[in-house]
Amino acid sequence: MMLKAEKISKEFVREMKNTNRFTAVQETDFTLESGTFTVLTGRSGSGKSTLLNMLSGLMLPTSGKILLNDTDMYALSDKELSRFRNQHIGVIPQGQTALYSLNVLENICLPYTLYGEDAHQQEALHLMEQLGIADLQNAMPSELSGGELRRMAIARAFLRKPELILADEPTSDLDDENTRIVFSFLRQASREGSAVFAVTHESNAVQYADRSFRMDAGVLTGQFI
Amino acid sequence: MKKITCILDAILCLLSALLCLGTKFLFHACAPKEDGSWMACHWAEQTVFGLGITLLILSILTFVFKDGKTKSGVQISMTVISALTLCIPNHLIKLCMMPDMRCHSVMKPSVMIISILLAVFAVISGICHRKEESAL
Amino acid sequence: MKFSHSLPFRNLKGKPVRTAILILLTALLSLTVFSGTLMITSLKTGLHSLESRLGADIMVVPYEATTKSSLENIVLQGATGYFYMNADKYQKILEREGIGQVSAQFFLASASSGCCSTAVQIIGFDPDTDFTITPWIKKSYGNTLQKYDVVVGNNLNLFVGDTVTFYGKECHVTAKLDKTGTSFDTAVFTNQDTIKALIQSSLDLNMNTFQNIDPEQVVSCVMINVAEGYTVEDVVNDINIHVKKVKAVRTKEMISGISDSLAGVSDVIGILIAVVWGLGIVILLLAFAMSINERKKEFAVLRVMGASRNRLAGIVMQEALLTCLFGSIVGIAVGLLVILPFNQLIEEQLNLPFLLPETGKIIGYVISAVIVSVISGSLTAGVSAFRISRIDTALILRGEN
Repeated sequence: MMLKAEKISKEFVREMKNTNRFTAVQETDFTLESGTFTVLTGRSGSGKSTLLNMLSGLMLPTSGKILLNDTDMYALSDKELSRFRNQHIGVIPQGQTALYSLNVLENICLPYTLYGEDAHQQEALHLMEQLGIADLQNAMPSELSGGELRRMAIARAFLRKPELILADEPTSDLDDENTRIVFSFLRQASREGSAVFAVTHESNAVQYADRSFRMDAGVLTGQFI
Repeated sequence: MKKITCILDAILCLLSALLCLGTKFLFHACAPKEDGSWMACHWAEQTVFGLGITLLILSILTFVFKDGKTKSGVQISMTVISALTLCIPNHLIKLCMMPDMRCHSVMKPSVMIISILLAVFAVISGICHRKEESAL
Repeated sequence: MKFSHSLPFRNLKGKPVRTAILILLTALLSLTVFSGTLMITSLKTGLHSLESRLGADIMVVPYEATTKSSLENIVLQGATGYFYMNADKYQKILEREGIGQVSAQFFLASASSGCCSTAVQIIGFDPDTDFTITPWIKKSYGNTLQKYDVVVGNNLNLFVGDTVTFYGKECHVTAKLDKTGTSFDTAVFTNQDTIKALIQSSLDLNMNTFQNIDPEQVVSCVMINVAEGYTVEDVVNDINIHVKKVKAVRTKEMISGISDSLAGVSDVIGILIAVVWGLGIVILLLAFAMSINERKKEFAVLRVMGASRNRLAGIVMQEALLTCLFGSIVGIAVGLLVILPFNQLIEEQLNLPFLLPETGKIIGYVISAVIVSVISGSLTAGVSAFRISRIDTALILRGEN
């Protein structure tokens, strides 16, 4: 699996201020490969999440294109792109992302059930076990702690064994123990063949990563460890 | 006992009470004739009142019994009695001749609606009790 | 995947209070449109049935009947009462020009009879000339009526084979008429031989308010259809001028009072439906919008997991469809449970002819009310569905931090 971002940039139109345009991400080339764990750090507002959203197919870049295995993501129709994201990309969004009318197991099985497919509950339970939330399968999200919810979101993103995993601040609001669990898990996933990309302001995330980048005011600076 | 079955049983209790009190005070049959004698519909009213009391006692019993099977048994009998109550006005006991008299225009439809509701709720509650019992 | 596990269903189940309020609202909408339509139709059917029951252009009655204002009460409102005029008036009317079909009728009110203390109106007709009642009786009873045979209105608690006693004479119920929703439903019909015998019997028992009448020499009213080439107006005037002590009345005029108040009631119901719907639609719009708004984040998460924009809109629409369908069924069930059993009470309270349409038609109204409620409920949800399909997922997900 190879994700290639060619000369992508993102500009926003600001309506409130006089400066009409604001560049969140400067023109950048960027690649992600299977088997690697890539971490992007930077201060908030530096454009990290914007980059991640572009990579996940949720935000059209102002310029450039994103190729996943030679498929130009933004050339697809919304329906095709959605299905593509469902099958190939696992996204762990910021914050609490549970559906509160479903229990934990049902939340995790959603990537399958959303398209009316078999729920793959055994795989879900296996993931939950690995993440240490196996006994919560019948609990409702409202009964869970922040760390448990985050682990639930991770299990959900991993269920379809996506080739690309994008995590946006996967450890914000988590204590050290939970942070360690999450990063080890992401690293483990990359060892099993996925391309894992995490955006974080956690500086010690770098120690789990194969590659790490930094973003400052929309400019990406890279380094290999 | 689950909240929903508890609510259902309370509804049954209220409906039975409404049937008893209603037939006497709200939707009673025709008033006595000028000479003080009663018309046929009065006896229908009395019977409905009696059945209403029976239903009320049965619905209170569902709270007394602990066993789910017994509860659903009581509710089966409530369903049967409600169906019987439904048939009292004008089918089992004839009401007055003119349709615009109170027993036809007020008592009969009111008794009809309440006993239909009673039968329906008794069936639902009975099923719920059975389900709870087998879930244990 | 089982329906009960589908996401829209789970969303509704997960928020029972919100769902219950939405269901209540749609139930209210379908209740008003269904029961309103049923009421208006029943009133119209009632009026139509009254028109066809009167079935004559002109009704001639003794003059005092009109001054006592009993005429409309007896003919239209179902009050019991009677009046008589000399049979020679009938002959005189026959001699006038422009008379087509003509037949005399006889009225008598029973004294407290049978089980109940209320009297019933007895209407006698001449089987040889009658053109208003016979066609109607024929629908229920094919044979000719013998002496002391009676046909009873649909609302009377009497059945074929029963015996009913009027002024000491036993009469046999030979047929029961179809419901008309008018005062005729509580009347008893018989031929002129029987009613003359009954009038005589009431005189013998000294229970008739008229003392010195000969049943063979009186009639209560004369029904007339105008002959071709004459106008109803002309014939009415002609009779009123040339026949003394009688009053010719256009039946259309008698009904006009009823159709006026019917139009009034229909207007009120129409306005009520419009107001409830106007308000209901606005509240539903807001309710759906709010329900979607508070779950924006959940929809964004679905989008992240690969739900297309159309799929999001689909979930919103399915939720709305389920709520509206269930709500409208509840509303209509309530409507049916109130209007059908209490139709007699409604008729009394409105004091207008009220005839429920036949079952097939009612089923038609049920189906259309469900469709109308579901469609309009879904349309209001459509606004929210469109908005949710346009959400900026990235922005919403950022919003929390």
